[in-house]
Amino acid sequence: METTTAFDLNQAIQRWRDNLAQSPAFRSENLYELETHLRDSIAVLQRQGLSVEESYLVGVRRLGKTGSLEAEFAKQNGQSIWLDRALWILIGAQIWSLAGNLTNYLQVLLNIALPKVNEWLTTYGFGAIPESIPAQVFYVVALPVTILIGAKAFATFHRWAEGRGWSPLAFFLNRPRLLAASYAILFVMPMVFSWGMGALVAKYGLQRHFSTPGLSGYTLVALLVLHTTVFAAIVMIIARRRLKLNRS
Amino acid sequence: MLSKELVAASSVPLVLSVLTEGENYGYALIQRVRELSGGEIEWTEGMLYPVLHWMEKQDLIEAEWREAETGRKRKYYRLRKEGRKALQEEKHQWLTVHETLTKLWKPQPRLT
Repeated sequence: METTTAFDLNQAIQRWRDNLAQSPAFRSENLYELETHLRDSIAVLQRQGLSVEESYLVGVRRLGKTGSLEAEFAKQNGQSIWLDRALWILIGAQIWSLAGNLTNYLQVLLNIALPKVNEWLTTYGFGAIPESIPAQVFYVVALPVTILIGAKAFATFHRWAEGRGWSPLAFFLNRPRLLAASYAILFVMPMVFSWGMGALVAKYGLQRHFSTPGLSGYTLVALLVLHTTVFAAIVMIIARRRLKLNRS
Repeated sequence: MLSKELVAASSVPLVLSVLTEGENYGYALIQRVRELSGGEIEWTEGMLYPVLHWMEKQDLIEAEWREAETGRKRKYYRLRKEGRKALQEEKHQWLTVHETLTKLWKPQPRLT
């Protein structure tokens, strides 16, 4: 049996608006103005005899394709787009650094396990894995894989959260202080990981495979605090400016 | 129907000209142009707004948010002094093109 579902105009308009809002090319004022235009257009089309759904579809089509609108609005709102890019470059660089550290950890763990693996392999008549290969090759292969797995996991989580009416990205981007604090943690994590990795390398005598920073002392801590504070402050300033522009 | 390029080139003088009739908002501006052109000038409606915002930045027009009869706020645009001056210049340029083309396309007298 065929079933029909009622068309919810407000929900459809909200979805259309949310889709446009993903782009930094549109400020909230622009979205409000476009929505008012769409609602005016729908009202007129309905008076001409079209159904609510038909009026919505024609109205959206007349407004133009998302990509074309984005390109035209971007010409007027260029500053917020560049702020958005700067923010993502800063965040992206730290995520890259963190992924590199996680990969290094995997590499250390692999080297710790390698003698045991070789012992098993030789017991069962296979050749041993040369110790130098994993250290050289692993990083090149594992870094992109770590990043891909991380990106996929985040995208899945984000979709799941959005399905429940919450956008984690928007949540952070619209709270400059929280974003700056999270960024500071992200900034410190690779350094903490490096120290931890240094300890592991020393414990298992793997220095011949890894050159660890081996840095310590108050100077290093002071430098780390200064470095983190400066970058977190930059992130907060950019996020605040971006938010102000998007809300104007 | 006019070509995309011509529609884009004529958008500023058209907006300026419609606003000489009084302040207006985006949707009504498009309807007015559609009506005057007999449907020959069809804008991709959303594209009008970046043009309006550019004109606002150039001080040709000014805008004000006001509540409409629907209860939603609408942005009303009106002409500024600089806009009237720009319109005079636009008029001069478009009439020059129009007159030149009219002369060129006037039927030429023939001997046979």
